[in-house]
Amino acid sequence: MTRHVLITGGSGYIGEPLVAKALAKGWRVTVLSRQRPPKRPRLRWFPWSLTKVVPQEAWLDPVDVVLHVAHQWESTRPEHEDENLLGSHALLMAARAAGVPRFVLASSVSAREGALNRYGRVKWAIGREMTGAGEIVARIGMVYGGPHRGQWKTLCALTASFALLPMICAGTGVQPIHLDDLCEGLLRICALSTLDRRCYGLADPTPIAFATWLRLLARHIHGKNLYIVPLPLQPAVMAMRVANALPLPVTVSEERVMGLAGLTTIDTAADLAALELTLRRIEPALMAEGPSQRHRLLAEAHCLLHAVGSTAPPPSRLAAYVRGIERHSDGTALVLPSLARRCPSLLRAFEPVGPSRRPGDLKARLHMAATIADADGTAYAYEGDGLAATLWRLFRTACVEATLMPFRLILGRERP
Amino acid sequence: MSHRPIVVVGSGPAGVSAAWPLVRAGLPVVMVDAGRDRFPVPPPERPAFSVLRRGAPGALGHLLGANLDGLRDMRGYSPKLRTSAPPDFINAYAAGNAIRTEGFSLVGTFAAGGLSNLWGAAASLFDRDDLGCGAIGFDELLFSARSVAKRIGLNGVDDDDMAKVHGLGLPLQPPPPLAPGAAALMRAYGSKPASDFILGRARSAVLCVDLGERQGCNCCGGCMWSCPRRSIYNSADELPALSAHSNFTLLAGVTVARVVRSRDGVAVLGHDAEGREIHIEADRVLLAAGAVATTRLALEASGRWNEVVPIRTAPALAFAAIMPRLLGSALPQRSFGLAQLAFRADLGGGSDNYAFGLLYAAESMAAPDLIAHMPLSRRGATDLLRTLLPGLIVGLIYLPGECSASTGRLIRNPDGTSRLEITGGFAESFHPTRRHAITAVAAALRRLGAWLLPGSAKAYTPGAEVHYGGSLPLGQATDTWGELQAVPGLHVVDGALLPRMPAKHHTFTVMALADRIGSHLAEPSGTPFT
Repeated sequence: MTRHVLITGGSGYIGEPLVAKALAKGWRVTVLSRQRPPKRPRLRWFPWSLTKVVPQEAWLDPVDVVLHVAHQWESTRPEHEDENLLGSHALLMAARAAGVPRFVLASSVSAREGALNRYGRVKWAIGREMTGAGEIVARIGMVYGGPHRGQWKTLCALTASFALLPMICAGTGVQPIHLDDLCEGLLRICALSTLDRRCYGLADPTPIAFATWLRLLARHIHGKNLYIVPLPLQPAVMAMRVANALPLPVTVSEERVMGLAGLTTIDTAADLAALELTLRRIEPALMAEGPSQRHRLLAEAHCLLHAVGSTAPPPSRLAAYVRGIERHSDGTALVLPSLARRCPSLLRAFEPVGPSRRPGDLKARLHMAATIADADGTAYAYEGDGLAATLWRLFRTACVEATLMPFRLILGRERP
Repeated sequence: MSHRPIVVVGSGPAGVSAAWPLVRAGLPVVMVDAGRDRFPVPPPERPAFSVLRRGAPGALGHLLGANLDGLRDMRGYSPKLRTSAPPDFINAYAAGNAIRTEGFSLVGTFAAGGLSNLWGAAASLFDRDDLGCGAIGFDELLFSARSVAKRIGLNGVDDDDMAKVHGLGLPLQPPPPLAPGAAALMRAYGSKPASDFILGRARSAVLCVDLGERQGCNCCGGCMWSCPRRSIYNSADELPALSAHSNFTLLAGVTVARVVRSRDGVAVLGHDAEGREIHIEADRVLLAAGAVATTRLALEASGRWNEVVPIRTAPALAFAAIMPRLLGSALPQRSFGLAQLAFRADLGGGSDNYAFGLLYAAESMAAPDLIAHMPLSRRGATDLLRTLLPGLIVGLIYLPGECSASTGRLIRNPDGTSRLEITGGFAESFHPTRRHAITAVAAALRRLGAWLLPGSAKAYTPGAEVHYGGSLPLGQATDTWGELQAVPGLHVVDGALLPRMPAKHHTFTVMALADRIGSHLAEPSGTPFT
């Protein structure tokens, strides 16, 4: 039987791919959103926002499932009159009135009574109303992947902009889930023939420290290292409040900060098993979200070949390097120090002093770059330079290497 | 007389040397080899190395290979292995021969011609002390050595101090011209001879004059990247000539899994490249699969399970030395890329206790291999190397096999098949001998105007020097014709047979031993050496 699913917030970060996947499954989709989605077969759209009444026409064609994904972030109302609270309540009542057999609320891992931020409290309050048969709460973890929108965009931008990030609650656990896995999970909840629970957790069962998560983003999306400076919560919040009270051009959202501080983790393994959903592994998935490996290897080739030679490498060497890494190494690009990426000559200061420890580490790749540069080079003096020039070059090399050595001993140490 | 063939396992230098006398005598010979092709021969139009190094078009392809196999991480091995070998040649060999190693770098290849595809072609003959046993007479060996030398072509001289170390009385072609550093050393040596350090020309299985289809060396300097003129001996070059005989059959692409005693002979069991089973009944089987692979086959045929046997190696060290007087001088446009000079340094304690070494002109080697262990940045090390290159000499020192303590043990797998487990190691005497050898060589070179670069002497891990042998010594595990006592008709004819592993390169001696056994088996009436 072809299902008919009504999706709210169908033009948002999660809603848009959710609509596309539902259509791809052959379902009929009704979208309630502020913006009109592109026209597609089996897709209806009604303009709607959380402050508006659900158009009656939406229910005329019987709906099998309501997937309530819409959320309004900004609110000027007091919390008990929050648009999300009232709008969701109205939607639920309308669905019940229309006899919709299933209602799935996209909630959050952070939803709980007394959550530190409003989002968590509001989501918890909406979830509390889901008491009828077929009314289910999906508690979603930290969503990543796909187009740079929403919180994903914020985190990508944050990790792109900074090399060093002061942070409260660096060790707080987050439970990521890839956007595509999330959509699949939500649609599986819609399609379940029998419901054995009222709440499904859609998040990685193993929490990962938020600081580690940001470092992974920096590494795999931007190919750089990120250093996190942990800050104590209370003094940081005090400082934030003082800063926000001052007439400064930038304010820090207390809501977001407290959301992070109040994060909890939930056990999702059983829920995922019930949905027969296997989440993709985080690191390969993040790698796939960043630039292609080839693209990164090319950037690496440029940096390393420039570092072992003295000039910008010609395309033939770049190609040889990328092919060489793909053939003789695992084919993944290294994370190079940002300084060296900007100025490849400085990579010498990061070159480990000892031998290569693992196949494909920086030392091994520098060696490969040196092999390529040597095979393609023109720097051999077959005519002879004379003793004076030779001694001068030896002296120069000795001076440069002696200067570099302390830096290499410190910066070239193996990092975990 | 039976019409069943004599089977030779392996097409490396030993297998081919054993096969020739049998084929010439008209006996039916089947050579079984896991390799189908030899390593690729470089195109004849490859420019001289000095031209490639100055940015000739296509240099990347010529020096790193069309598939960039030259970028393989082969630090710790001879530069020759990096530059000319196809991918996975080491891993495929160990797995295909059911050999597992620990602390031992096994080098081998499933290619027609075996390790002669990438050897350094050093060709010295063991003397009585090197052989270290009375199982065979040196004169018998010399008879076969002459025959092999004539066949493959050796270059060298018969009148310098090293000639008697390499072996006197062999047919020799004139050697290639010396590089400036080697020539300077020889001049200095001529005026300052020493009793405990002998220096002279290297002797190599490289043609300087055309021989058959193979051309003489033109000193293009690219020896490390394989020879386009086939001047460097590769036993695969002899396979067409062998195959021209109607009584010789080459079964290429057949991996031998087991050799077993059958009712009235020996059976060879294996499979071809498509996985079809191969079963050959033979009167005699000659094992020349390479010393380590042969050891597994012979131990299994003899039922010597779980027995620890020695896998002798000649532990090797690499070093670099500098001749200050040559710094800043021009590099030769043409040169010979393999060993220029050889030396013998006495280690005291008997005439069989010496270090043997080879000296190369550094300009004919892949520079990245020379800088691999320098603690400088890659760019600094490259700059340093290029600056020192006109005066740089690279050397290899080999120590007697008594310094090695690697062992092998045949293990039965749960499915009934076998595997050979090799554990690499050095004897207690290794470190003092190594220090003694380095000190002696450094002092001798210093007298001749070359200075050992501090910290440059590095020992290879056991096995990486690719001198294997001594696991089934002639006259002990076998009779004087390499025949295993436990399995009549099964002969060992490769390095496994060596009674000792002296410091000297063993391949040429192994070829002579193989020729000797082949010649004996070719004469139904007995020994041909009369």
